[in-house]
Amino acid sequence: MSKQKLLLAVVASFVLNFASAQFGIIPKASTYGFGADVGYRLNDKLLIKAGYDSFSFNFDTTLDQESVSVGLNGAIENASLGAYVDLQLLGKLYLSAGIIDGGLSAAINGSSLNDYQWGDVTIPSSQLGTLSFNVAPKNSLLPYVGLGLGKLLNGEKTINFALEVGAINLGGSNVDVAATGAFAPSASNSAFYQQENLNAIFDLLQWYPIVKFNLAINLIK
Amino acid sequence: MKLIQRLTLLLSIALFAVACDLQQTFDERIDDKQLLVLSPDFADTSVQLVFRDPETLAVIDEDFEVTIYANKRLVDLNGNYKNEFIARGGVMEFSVSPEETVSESDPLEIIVEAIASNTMQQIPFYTTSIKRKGLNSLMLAPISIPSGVELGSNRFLSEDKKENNLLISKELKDPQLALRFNGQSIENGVDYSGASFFGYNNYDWDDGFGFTNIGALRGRKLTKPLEISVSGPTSFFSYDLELTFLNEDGARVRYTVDKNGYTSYQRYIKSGGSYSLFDSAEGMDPTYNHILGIAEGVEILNILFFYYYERDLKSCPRGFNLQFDGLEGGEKTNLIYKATRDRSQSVFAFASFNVDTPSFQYNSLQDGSASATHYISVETNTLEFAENSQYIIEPRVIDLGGEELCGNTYTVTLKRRDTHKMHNINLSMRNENQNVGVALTFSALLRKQGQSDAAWETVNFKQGSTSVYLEEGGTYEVKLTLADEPFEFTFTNDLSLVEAAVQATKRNVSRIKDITYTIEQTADSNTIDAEIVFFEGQSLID
Repeated sequence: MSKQKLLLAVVASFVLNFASAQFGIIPKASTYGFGADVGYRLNDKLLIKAGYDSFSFNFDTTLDQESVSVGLNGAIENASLGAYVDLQLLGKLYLSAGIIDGGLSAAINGSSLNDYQWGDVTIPSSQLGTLSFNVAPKNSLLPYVGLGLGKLLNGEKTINFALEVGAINLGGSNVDVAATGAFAPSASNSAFYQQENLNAIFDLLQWYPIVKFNLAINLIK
Repeated sequence: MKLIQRLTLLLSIALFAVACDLQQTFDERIDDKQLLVLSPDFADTSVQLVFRDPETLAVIDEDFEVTIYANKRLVDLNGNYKNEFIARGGVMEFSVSPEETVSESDPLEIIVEAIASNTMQQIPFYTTSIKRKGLNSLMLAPISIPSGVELGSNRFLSEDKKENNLLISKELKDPQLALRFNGQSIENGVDYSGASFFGYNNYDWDDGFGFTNIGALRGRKLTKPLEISVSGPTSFFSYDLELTFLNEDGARVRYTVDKNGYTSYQRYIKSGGSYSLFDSAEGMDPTYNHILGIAEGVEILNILFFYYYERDLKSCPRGFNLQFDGLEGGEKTNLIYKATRDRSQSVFAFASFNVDTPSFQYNSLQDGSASATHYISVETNTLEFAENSQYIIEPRVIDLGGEELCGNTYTVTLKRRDTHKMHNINLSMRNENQNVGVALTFSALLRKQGQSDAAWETVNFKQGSTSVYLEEGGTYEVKLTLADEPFEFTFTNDLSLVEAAVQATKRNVSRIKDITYTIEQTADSNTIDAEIVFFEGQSLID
């Protein structure tokens, strides 16, 4: 059999199989953002999904340390791709596992809100410099596991729902600090960079919790 | 839907529990750990004062009470306006307030008064100007005040003009060298015009040089005018009479007159926590010898009389130049020298300065010089550098020659010692239970443990870091004055000696609770990171 014929046979088999299965899109909202998957139910037990999530969250806060009050302007962003397999365990209870291609990051920029009183001398806040943190997961591919209730693309209804609870394993974080002026010794490229102590804090988030609401629309039954 | 509601509720409870646990873990992880390091590196011009013996160049390990008059506001390492300091162990540092600027055209003008009460050593009135930003180092050579020394004899009369509390007369009465008060010989402990004086003479007749230094007991105002006379042979090569006194309005006044009648008058006032230096009023007063009167009501601080006979001495107002080669980019070191007149072996110049570029020029009368001119021997003079632990100085002893040294340039090469390795030292400090540390910019003295006081060398920390060439396996001592307190620490590049060095430092500075110390060794350099933690409420840094 020539290669062309073999390829043709595989495609034909896939199309026939595809036409006989459930295929649809699954818009979702979760603690990892908003997005959508395309789903393909292989059989009664297995559903494969692939899609994206994204969100952006901005916040302002203040870091008060001794005589310095630093205004922080932060942004947590996510733009990631993921692939998942859902295994129906019992009735509507299913196990979901997958792999996510990074995308989660946090950037926090700060500068002093007030003039700094250095002994008898007042140093204008504009001369104090700036401080920026960038935090991202150490690994680019992040495993995900969760438990869900529902059966997406089940072929019975055009639209169905599922609620999922799980977690993404971040595997630790990388912290990068950029700093100028009086903050300069805190920068990643400084001899005083407190890498170990800062990483110890951000490594607290080994697992990122996920609560996900899925809405599946069967396109092909 | 009920199931979803229950699940959501359960999830919320779980997340809350996780958050609480996270907070506790977070608190445990950051407890008493340094997270950020700040550098209050706001002052761009700092001056280190080191008190040394001019003959041996040894640092004088005494506490000096130091007053600095300046034309700009000065601050300490904590940013407090300050003009009165304590130099612990013969070293201290001050900075120019960030509100001020220092430049070639607008230099920092300072006058330093210092006294070590224990040993009666003093700097009567040291004047210099600083034109370079950055960390500057000045060497000061105090003089000792002996007791029971009698001063001259003769008499004079004067009554001329009164200006700025000075009664100036012009009259030569006697060709014999003498300095007198109210026409009387000056004796220790005797009151003149209601004030009491002490002082001494120092002569080097062989070299034709001498000076008289007279101090006054503080707090005694003149109850009637005091007349000070200078008389002597016209064969004087040169002389300067400097009077400093506290005026009725609280201003400190320095009046200077030289043999040729050139006078200068400066007022230094203290207001708002800082001293101000008034521009000099200068002019010619064509007298050859002088009678000066000081009005009643003022408080005399100090009288200095320098004189030089015209023998083999020559004035050198241009100084001499030193050209330094051999440093690589980014390297810097501090050098100290003394220059002597060979015949009398008397020092006519000394200096401490930083060399910080591969090609560096230094004039002996620039920043940090002890006087506005050198009095050199017309025959032979010699310059000798203090030993430098990091670099071989070639030549270390320079035959300057005779009077041709004035304006001459001498080339010096600095060669790194092969036995030494580059060490990067990073030092931060913080208070107990605080997560923000401080990396200070400061100057200190460094020597290998066990070496003499002459081996102390200036080392500059910029934002807590410095790079110096050190012997491997050595233990080194660093000392400075921080907030008027002595601050001495010991460090080593030998891992087996770290604990001993830490304990030595904690013994020296009881305020220190702990020191975290790491050494990273590579083929090219060693890096030493040290974090000093002060006990709560006992920090020397604000």
